[in-house]
Amino acid sequence: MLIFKEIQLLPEIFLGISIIYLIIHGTFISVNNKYLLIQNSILYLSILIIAMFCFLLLNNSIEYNNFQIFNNTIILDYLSFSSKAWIALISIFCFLMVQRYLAVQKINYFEYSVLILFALLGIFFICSSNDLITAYLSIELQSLSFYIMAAMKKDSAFSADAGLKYFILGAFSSSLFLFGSSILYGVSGTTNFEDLKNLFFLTYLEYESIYGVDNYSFVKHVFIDGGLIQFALVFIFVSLLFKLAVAPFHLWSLDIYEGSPSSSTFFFAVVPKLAIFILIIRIFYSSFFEYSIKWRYYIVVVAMLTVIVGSFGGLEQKKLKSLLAYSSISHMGYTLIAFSTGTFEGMQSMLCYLFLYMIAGLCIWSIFLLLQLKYKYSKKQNKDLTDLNLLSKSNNILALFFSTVLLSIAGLPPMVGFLVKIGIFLVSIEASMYFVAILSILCSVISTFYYIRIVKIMYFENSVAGKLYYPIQSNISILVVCLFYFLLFLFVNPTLIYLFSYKITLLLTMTVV
Amino acid sequence: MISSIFPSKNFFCLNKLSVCSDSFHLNTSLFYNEYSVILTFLFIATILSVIIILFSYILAVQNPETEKLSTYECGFEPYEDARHTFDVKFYLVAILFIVFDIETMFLIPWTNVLGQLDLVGFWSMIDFMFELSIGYVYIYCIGALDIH
Repeated sequence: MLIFKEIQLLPEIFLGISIIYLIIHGTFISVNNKYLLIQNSILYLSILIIAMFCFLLLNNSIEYNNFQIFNNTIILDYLSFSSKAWIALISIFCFLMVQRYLAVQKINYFEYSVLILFALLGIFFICSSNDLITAYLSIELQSLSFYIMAAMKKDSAFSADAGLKYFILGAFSSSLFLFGSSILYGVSGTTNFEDLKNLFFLTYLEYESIYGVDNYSFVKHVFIDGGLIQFALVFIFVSLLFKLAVAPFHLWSLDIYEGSPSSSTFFFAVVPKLAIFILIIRIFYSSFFEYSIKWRYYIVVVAMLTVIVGSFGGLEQKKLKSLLAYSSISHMGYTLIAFSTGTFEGMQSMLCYLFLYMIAGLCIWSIFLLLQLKYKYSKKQNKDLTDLNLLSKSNNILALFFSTVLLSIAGLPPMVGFLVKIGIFLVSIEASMYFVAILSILCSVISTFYYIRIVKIMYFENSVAGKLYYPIQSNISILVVCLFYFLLFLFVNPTLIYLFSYKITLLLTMTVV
Repeated sequence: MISSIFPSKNFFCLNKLSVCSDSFHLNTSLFYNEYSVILTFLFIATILSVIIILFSYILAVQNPETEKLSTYECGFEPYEDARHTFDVKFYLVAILFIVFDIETMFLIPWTNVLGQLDLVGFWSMIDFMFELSIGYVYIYCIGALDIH
């Protein structure tokens, strides 16, 4: 049935089949046995499934061969392999952290973990999509499950509100993607990234005026309507930026992060960004590299706007969640700055930054989820900044971890966050984007304020009484400690993440050329 | 792969550079090829709907009475208090209908090109229907189809 080459998609096929199995299993058990609560067991099963997915993925010995399967719609190269492995590892941690929160919030639907698995399947397919249609379908699979996850807390009006907003805006941005790809198809007659790359390779847009050679003008006039292609690219670009919550299109993210249950926000903020960036790399860096002189300008403008909005908007926030949302917006801005250079080092520092963003996001959000306030009304989930008042007195070690991770994200020198951030500034200076570099460094300084303010609230507040928290389960706290020491280890040995991203970029550019 | 989409007559003409560049434009020809069908469909749909409405208005014998003239909505009174609760199950049925509608939409083009498909193309549709039926089992078991 499947020929031998296509069996390389075995990890995804396994994931899909086990999702179907989980649905049947969960449905029959929960319906037949008087609506038994199987949320926990399904969650542990999902962790097992993702772990086995990792195992199958790592066993693919043909990992960085450039295989294209299913009629060239799916590509299996080192970029997709490594990002899938990374996302799967991160999502295992996410599952473990979320479990306690779901029990406290009484989100007792086994569908929740199944939906997360669906979203992960979509994300894995985004990582290895090689066709505009595959990319669209996998984005839809991912975001449809995210819409439901945002609205999963059925008794909360905020959650339903967030789900509806996410649905409408997500559908809007997906339609922009479809419009852009239909124009691209109309111009070029293909939707395959590989074909697009071959078609637009060596079509110099600007050279015509320099050389005045007939060949070039012929290429430009007959093959390519450059304006129409740029038009299409802008639409695709805007829709992907919508998914990333980048500055002119960031407004949905604040409401949705605030309204949806924190476990869902955890996933929205940490997991899908890398996959969307890989899609951006595949479309813009691999397929339309010849147009980089054109799209670089859009990306630089958007990135600067994002950094400014992310660092100034966070100053006003009183809620921890929306502050973290603004922080994630500004991080996406730095990543886009690295991408906009379009150079080898730019790609590498971008991937470095994304990997570190995911680890740091994992640390911060897991600490956020583990802080269960001792209220009479225990359902309160949106923490004010003042709720962290004197956390250093009530839980000293957690406060230490939290402040260290915050300082790392802010990019203060003795942490690994500093190393990746300075990598981005150096790359933008190397690409002669001096103004961009200066402005982003200044904005980084401004954004440091709101990270340090949290540290100040935790340690140096002049109030007598702080809030009390429930103690953290010992097995979960071991995980938090592991994450924290991994972050410290990355400072001692940043070569790990550096070489990893170097290898990815090297193999990517080798396949480009 | 790409060459398959070029119209063969025009593709050979690429060798004579200066002759073709004025007369033949690849973009426009592709647009005509791919999108003119959609435009035709749009025209036909508009004309057809106008014809149907017009003739059913002119030709039909009209016997108006109050019950006939009142607006008709499924399952609830059209004019009442806006804050009245509305049963979400109507929407549920509509959404489920759309899912199976889409299955038909996939099936019909699939049957047209079935002869040219390889085994993967055949079995992926079978797989699609299998997974859809699992979705059906799920909604049946949790009682989403249970109107009462």
